[in-house]
Amino acid sequence: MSVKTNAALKAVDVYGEYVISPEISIKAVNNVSIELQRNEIIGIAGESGCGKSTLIKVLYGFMDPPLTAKGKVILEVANSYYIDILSVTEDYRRENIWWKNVAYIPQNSMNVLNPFMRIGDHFSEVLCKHLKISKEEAYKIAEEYISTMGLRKDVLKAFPHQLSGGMRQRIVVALALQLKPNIIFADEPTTAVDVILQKVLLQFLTEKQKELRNTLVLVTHDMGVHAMMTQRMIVMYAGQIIEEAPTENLFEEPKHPYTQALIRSLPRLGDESPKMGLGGAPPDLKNPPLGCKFHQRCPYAVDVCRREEPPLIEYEKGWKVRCVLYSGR
Amino acid sequence: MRPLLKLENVSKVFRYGFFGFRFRAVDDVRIVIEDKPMIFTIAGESGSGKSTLAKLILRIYRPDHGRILFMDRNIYEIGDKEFRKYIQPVMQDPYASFNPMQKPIRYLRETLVNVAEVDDEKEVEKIMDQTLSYVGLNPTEVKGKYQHEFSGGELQRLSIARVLLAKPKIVIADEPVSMLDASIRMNIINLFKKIKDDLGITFIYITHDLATAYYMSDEIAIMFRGTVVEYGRSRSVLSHPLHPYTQALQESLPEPDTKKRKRWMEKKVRLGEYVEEEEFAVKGCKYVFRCPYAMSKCKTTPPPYISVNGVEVRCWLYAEGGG
Repeated sequence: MSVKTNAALKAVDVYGEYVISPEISIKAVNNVSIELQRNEIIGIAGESGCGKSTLIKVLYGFMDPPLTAKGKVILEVANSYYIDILSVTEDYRRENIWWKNVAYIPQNSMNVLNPFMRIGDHFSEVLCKHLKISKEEAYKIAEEYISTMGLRKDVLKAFPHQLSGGMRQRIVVALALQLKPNIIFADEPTTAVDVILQKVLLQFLTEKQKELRNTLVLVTHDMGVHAMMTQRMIVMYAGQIIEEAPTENLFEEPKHPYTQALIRSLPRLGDESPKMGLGGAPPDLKNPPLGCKFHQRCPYAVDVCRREEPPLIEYEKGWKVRCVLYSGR
Repeated sequence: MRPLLKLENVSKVFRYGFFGFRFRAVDDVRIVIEDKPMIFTIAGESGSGKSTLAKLILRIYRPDHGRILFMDRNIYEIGDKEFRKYIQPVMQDPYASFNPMQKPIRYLRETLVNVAEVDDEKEVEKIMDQTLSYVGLNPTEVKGKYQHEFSGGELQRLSIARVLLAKPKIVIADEPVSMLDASIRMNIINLFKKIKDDLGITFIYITHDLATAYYMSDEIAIMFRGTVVEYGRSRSVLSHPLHPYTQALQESLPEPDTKKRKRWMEKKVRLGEYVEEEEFAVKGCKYVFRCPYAMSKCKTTPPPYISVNGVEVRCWLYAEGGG
């Protein structure tokens, strides 16, 4: 299977399912196909429980037991050498893909550092394993690297608890970037920090993305962050992509009724017009409804929405929407 | 006019560790809430003391200094039963607000019997049905269900219905929508506004979300490290902030508007070297370590409440003859 030259990663018909028992399974990601381009910041938006974190885990190839995945995630490892992340073993991913090619900044990133390890050991552990060098050399590289990231050298000697939350988060970002990966997945990197620190971190991420010219996948429910950061956006609902568009277009004239409602409901500073939310709740993913997943809450729902699942239609170039309202074009 | 709620130099000190280190979670807070229906927002980041302040007003904590006056009466001089009639809370986590082993409706019924003191059974059912319909729930459906059968939004509506049954003067809502999905948040917020207009209840709304605060509130207090740095009409505080901290907050807020991206990206924030403990411990203004306008007296003397165009701000920049 070939990948276009500009795509850093291509996912085809990906499914992610949490199998709890033979009868119960949660279909968290359903038939998702996306392409991540080189040198772009792409945002994945959606409410809690829409499958955005699961999608990231599947794309990264990190499947903990109840989670099983189907489909193909094609990644270019070296020059025109492609592999399918989902078909290789976890050891292979650990050796050749993670950290080097694809990095992951988890949710709650300020609490992922090992409290018994100095910050420097976090860096040298990864460097020793991947570059096959001694610990002393690794420390030297880490020292140089950390000052290019705008952090002081003495943080390497500190334990995580001696640093502030914002510092720890910047260190996690620096850790993820140290082998210059092609793709960075950031899963809610700034929840649970205050807005001032959030801005510092997001600007830090953008700067580094510009330097490395790689792909940054930003997963967050905060539409404000998307508007400030991303070039392209994917909106998910009940495990599916319902709209994919350049960020400006999406905010100016969203197409899918769900995106429309979501964007219209956002309060802004200086805006006093009344805002309306949506009624109802997202569907239960244990047994999702027939037809369009959104039809129970959709103001434009017609008969066909209840019976058939609409396909993801290309509305314009680079603008896809999953809704029958746009199928007649 | 007699104020509805008045906080007079309220402080709360927490002690921790073996040596009893102290830090002031709430430090010399003075707020006057007038007796008219309005939404008063207390905004601040995590660790700013906003939830502690709410707990002080709810009598969960006792202030170490200062007094809290409800209609000119110290809240500790009001009897328990009477107090619950005046001030009621809506909690952050709707899933933890109700006992999972009992039907939520029982909790509502108990509130009506014990707090509002309605004895007649028919009357109880009638008031309950009215209130449930008012908050947008179907009374017959609610009565048969357990807590786990409701969605988060419905549970939060139930909490609000329970509060309304007590007919309070003040409702304290501590981050009531932060656990809910973005698409239904606005419905709950609109419900608060409707209750304020219809029933004349004053809300003390606690949040870290400035955009929502702007949308719903009439007055706002911005908290930082236990102190109120600025308070007044929310339009003017959030549109033309005076205190350097409020200014930094307003500038860093990512807004869902791609036109503002360029400005947001270009304007860098300076995150000075600071340690949280130091900020709590400093004698003067708590913001001194990060403030671009910091002067020598900022570190030693806490700034007073200074009134500028009806907004109270605690910053030496606005002191007479100073700046």
